Amino acid sequence: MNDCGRIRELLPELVRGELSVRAAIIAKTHADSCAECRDELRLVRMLSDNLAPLPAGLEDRVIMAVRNVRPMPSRRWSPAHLAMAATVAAAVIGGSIMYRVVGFNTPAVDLTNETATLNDQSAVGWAATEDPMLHGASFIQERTVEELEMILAEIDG
Amino acid sequence: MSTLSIHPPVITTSPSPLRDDAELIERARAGEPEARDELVQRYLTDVYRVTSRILGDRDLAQDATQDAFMNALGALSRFRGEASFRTWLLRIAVNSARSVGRRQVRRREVNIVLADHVASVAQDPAKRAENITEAARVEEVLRTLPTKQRMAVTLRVQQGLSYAEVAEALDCSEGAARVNYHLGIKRLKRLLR
Repeated sequence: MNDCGRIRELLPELVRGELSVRAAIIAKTHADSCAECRDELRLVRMLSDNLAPLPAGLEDRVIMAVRNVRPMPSRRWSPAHLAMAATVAAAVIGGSIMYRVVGFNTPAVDLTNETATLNDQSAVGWAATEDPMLHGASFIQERTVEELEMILAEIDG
Repeated sequence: MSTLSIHPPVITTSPSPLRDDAELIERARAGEPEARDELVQRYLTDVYRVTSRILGDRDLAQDATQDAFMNALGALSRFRGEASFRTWLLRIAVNSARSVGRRQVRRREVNIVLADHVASVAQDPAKRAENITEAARVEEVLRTLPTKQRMAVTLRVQQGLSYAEVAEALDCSEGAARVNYHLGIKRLKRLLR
């Protein structure tokens, strides 16, 4: 991260007065000599000042509302619940192992038929052909940083 | 500039309210109404600012604020202290605002939040006019950002949360919080030029 990058990471704390004196002086001195950081400091300051006021009466309204709230009980697992969970977990794990060892609905592949062994997709198993992580891996590795940022913004937006 | 070796950034914070929070939370869990009231008083402004920033409507933001506190105090037994209470509460506020927003398709054309803000900015008429223009522009442009970018900027700048806390509040990764914040700031700078 270059100087500008470091300084910009500190701007919210600078504006809120949460930096040490030394760090604040360094940040301000840099902003004075760097137009981009100065612009960003001004923006952060405007955002920080631009706060919605609290509507009159809201505090009383919320206090009255929460007085009627009944707290939910904490999640405590009884021995019966734990036993049931353990049974389900054992069934899932056992099923998964069975699935890997035996497989379900896997067409029989004639091992004497070379073409079927090499080309039949079902012969290489479900995960390799259908697992989105395996399919997506090469796609992600080929993207640039900018493209990944766009993808991230797209996902989070 | 040789003096720019700020590793890690030296941040001086006011005395942490965490200890007080822990005590208040315990008392609130035990059913003490005064403790609940104090939690509301302590975090009402933060929660309202987050909900009003998401919803852009004063009435809806008040509904969401009330929902957020009711949900949080109702679920206090599930707060495990992994994040700070404030971050946990702001996450609930974000979810409450989204929920209210989904329920409410009608949008007010008049921006009451902005009108309220503008009225309170300054007393001096000349200064006030200048501030109104600036505040209105920032508000208008901020509103055009995608929700996660707007919230990342709001939580980081206005609420002073770290990226880890922003991520916790927005239920995303720390990297996503950082990217969303910087994308938001870049877009704001460009739009405000």
